[in-house]
Amino acid sequence: MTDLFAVVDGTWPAATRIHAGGFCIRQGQGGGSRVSSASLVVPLDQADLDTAIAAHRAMGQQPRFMIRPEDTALDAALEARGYELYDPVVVYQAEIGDLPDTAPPMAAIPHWPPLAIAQDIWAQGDIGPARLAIMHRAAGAKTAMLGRVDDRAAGVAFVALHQDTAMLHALYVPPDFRRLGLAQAIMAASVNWAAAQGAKRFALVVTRANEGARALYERIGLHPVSRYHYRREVAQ
Amino acid sequence: MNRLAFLLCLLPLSAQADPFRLTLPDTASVTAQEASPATDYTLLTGRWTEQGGAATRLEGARDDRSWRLRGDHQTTLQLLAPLRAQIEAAGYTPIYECNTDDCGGFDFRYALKLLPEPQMHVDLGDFRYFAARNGTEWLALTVSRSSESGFVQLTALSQRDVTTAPAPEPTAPPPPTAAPEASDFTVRLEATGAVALDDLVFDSGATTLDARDYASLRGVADYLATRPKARIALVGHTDSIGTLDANIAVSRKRAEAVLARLVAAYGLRAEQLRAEGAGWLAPRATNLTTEGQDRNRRVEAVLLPDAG
Repeated sequence: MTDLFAVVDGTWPAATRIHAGGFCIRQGQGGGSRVSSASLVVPLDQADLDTAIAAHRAMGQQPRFMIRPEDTALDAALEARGYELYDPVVVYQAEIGDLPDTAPPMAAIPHWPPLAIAQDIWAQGDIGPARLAIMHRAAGAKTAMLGRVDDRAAGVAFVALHQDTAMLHALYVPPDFRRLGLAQAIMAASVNWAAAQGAKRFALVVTRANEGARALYERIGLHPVSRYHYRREVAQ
Repeated sequence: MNRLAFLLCLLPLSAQADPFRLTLPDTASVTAQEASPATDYTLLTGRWTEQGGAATRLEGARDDRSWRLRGDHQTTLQLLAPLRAQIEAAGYTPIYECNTDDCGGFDFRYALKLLPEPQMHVDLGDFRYFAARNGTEWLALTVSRSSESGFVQLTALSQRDVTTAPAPEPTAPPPPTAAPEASDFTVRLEATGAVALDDLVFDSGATTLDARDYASLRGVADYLATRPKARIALVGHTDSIGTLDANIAVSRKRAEAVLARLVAAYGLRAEQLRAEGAGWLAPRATNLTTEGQDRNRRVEAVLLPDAG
């Protein structure tokens, strides 16, 4: 099975990645923790945290680390250094055939590059130029998915493939258009698009605190298959 | 006769035989429950003012239960109304109902003696309270919400003479005669061999136990302190995400944190306790939803044979 963390990196790529002290260190240029944190690539006893922290600083970034389920020793080591835990995230996945893929006609339209109206909606959800740059960097098949309500553009998401797994990112529906089934329609159209691109699996990541979104994902048949959180240096 | 009609025939009978049970929507999950066969409870019956509030002090059997309705966007009145209707339909007479500031706000909420967060959440700017009585049966219903979820707690008090021992539950074995008191924890531990300590709160993703008083740990402490030869294993469990080795290590660390707390804060002897980790080998719920995963992350108290 494809490593889901490789899917995150492949579909939501950092600007640059370097290796230092046994860590992969991402430089995100303001695109959020997913593209600006370090993850362990060797056993912890062969890694050097101080080197990784110095590399973060050399990139002008606050030192941040991604803690995957197997990283319990790293988690404890960072906790001992006073690094604070933030943003617990759940990874969802399903076989693509197990998900609903039928949306009302014209409820959501795949297109690339993103239309100005799609960028405007993303901007309302604080998904700005730094994150659009991430989408442009994704190397595989990709699309923006523009959702519509009453003939109006009302929500948007980004979907990209890494090998045979499609991952959905940056789903945003402005408050005025919520509770109309639009997120579900965008999901179904995204599944449909991904299947047409040859994807076998459909995945996404969501912060644990976003209970409304998680309830939707579980209702349509996605299962929590992994999780991670971040630790960062506490600002002085 | 169809199945629904059959159920309707049974309902009045079971309502007479058992204490009142609220029926919540399918989306609700029970977050905590506590029971005491003989205790006292001050039921609030009026607005809280600077002089205090109108209240009735009751003695008898108390049962508390809280629910969480995830992804629920109803107002507190929408949450309350169907539950209030059930209570009234069961023959209870309303005593008092109020909304947030009309109840007396902060002081009223803290006089309610509710189950702890996060099992029961009360938004001080948006909660409702409803009290009702049916003879010697009293109910206090509190409803509130967060941005994403509704929260409900029902406290039921059956007035009883607290000087005599309550009759044992028909399904549970009689408590051993040597038992100093048949608390709910004791009955469950001895009847089923293990009790999940469901009120424990671990810092998210970590193995440190949040500093507060836990009813379940008081149950363990009361049990062991009054039975010097008894021994309990604390067994940590996780959800199915990650490798077995890592999960066994995390679950054992959580069990060790519970053991350390029982020794340091509840004065137990470490010889009566041991800590083990089972990782994801013994789920009690599906791991296909985050709710099921939440239920699987737990520490259980397992009763061991007495020391020789």
